Amino acid sequence: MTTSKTFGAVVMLGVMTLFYLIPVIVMCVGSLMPDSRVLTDSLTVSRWGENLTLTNYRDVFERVQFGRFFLNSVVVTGGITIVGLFVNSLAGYALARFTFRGRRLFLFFVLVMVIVPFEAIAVPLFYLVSAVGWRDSYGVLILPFVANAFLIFFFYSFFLDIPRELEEAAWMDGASTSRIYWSVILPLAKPVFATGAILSFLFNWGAYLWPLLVTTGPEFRPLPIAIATFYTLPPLQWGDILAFGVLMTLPVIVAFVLFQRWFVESVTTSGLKG
Amino acid sequence: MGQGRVELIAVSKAFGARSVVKQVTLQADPGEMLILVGPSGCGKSTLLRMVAGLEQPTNGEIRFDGRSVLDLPPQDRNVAMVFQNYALYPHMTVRENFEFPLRMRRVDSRERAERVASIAEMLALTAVLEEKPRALSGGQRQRVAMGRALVREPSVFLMDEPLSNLDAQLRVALRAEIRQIQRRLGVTTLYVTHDQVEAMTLGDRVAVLRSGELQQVGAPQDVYSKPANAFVASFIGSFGIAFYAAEWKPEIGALQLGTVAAAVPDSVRSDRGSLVVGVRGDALCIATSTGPTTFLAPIEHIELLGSERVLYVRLPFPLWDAKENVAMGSGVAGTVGIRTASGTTAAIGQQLPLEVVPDRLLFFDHAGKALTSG
Repeated sequence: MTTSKTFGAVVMLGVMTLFYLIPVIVMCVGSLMPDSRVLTDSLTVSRWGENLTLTNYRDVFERVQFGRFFLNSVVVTGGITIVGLFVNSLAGYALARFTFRGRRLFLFFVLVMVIVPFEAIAVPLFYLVSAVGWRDSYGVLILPFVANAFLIFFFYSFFLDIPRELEEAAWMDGASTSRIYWSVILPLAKPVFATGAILSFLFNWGAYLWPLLVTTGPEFRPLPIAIATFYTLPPLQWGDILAFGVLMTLPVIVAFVLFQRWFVESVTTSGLKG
Repeated sequence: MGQGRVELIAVSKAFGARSVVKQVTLQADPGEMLILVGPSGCGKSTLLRMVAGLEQPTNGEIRFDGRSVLDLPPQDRNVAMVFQNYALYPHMTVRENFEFPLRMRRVDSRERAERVASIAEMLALTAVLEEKPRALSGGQRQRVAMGRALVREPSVFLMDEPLSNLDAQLRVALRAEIRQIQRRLGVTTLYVTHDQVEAMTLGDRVAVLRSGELQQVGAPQDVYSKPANAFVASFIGSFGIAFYAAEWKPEIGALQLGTVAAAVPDSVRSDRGSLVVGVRGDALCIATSTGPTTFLAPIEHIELLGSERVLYVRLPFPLWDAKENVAMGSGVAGTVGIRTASGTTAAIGQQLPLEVVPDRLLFFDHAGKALTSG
């Protein structure tokens, strides 16, 4: 009974894992194949090993300013993540701990904003920033994403779970509110910050629509727009696109591995309730 | 540093429409250990939090050494508190936990080290100074919480059910330890508990609270033997109490309690007629001969406590309809526990010949208020 159940679960999970992994494997393998073979051979396991090459990677660097795009992505995503963690954690803390007029209303709007997809507000937001002539800058790419309803709620629910007595004890010990936040809350929230950092990074690394709207040239454009130009830049070379894809995915994997220990810890211990 | 006299004057606290503490006036003398005891929800923790400054009273005045502290935030009141769940900083070692309040008060590093060393020594925590709270046992954590509170030498020390998370054995051991340390340091201590045994054994004085109202303050022995009302009588004491309706009979000059006529002190004699008698086990003794003052009561339950045996008997007297005037006592409801030597032979169902000890009886009116206990 139990073993057959376990067996069934293993098979099902195995199939699902394969389903999610195959595109990634194909991307990696295809990126090493000459363009002529990508479409025909990248799905044929028996032909995966034949004359692999790194030329696609060389092409990527020759055809676009990969370094520039990469730097843009790092600056924008890093900026959003770092400033965002600071802002959203403070907002979540205030919602969880302070009593102020409008707190419930604010919380309500935060929840509403979790549901509203960015695409729904992209155009109005675009009108807003164009009205003040704000385009082609890191600022306009970063600022709209710094305050993030999901992250506010994420931090809020974590802070709610921290025993209030801990803060009261620190208060009686003579710590100020900001001191309590830095010396007591932040150290406890490390795993949550790590999770928040990963989530924020993932949300924003692949951003496409907004950068497309507010940037006009390669100076500020991030990687997702650059990869898109390969589809429109003749000749259409799938090997280059896949190589670009690998280069774009690597940082995400590196970031995940770096923070993974904390990430897993926080998902399992702090209780991601949402 | 002040003397540590704490005065509460007509302190009330309401959360919205819910009144939690009602007009409590109470004073703790310098160096005194005052226990706030009562069933859960009686407002005792709220009272403590108001002294700490974590809550503001809705009405009333709180003074330390004659000075109002209502305008002072907790850190300026020179009070320290031990929380029920200890509230140790989990990411800091024991040493860092001790140092935190000292750092906040800008105590220089040399003095910090000295104070931490001496408090660790006093609480037998020197060996675990570099451990984090998670590595400690419950009793050690409790002592760290005490140490962190005491290390900055507060003039008032507050403890909110500090032993309630520990097992019974440890509780008894730490109870004695807390008392010793408190005596040695001579720091005024307000201690909240719902456990009347803890209250009786720890306190210089005990303040009994119920539904936000102060019922009685006094030395443990006085609160036990001269309870102000039926609630206090039922809340304090370990082996149960039962209340009976009785009649004062001027014609025989005695109290008619069921079939038994009991002589009572002069102070209770009155023309009021009907009154309420509270009977604890120590107001009963096993009769050696039968007479007009003896009666039989069935044993309903027996508790063996090692050195002694507690026989719970149901007395053949008319029970008083107490309504909400009493606390849920220990033992079987409506029975009274009589302590006997463990060698006593007794069996459930056996009819025990008993006699009342008149001067141990407690007398109340039908509202539950004590009649002048002499």
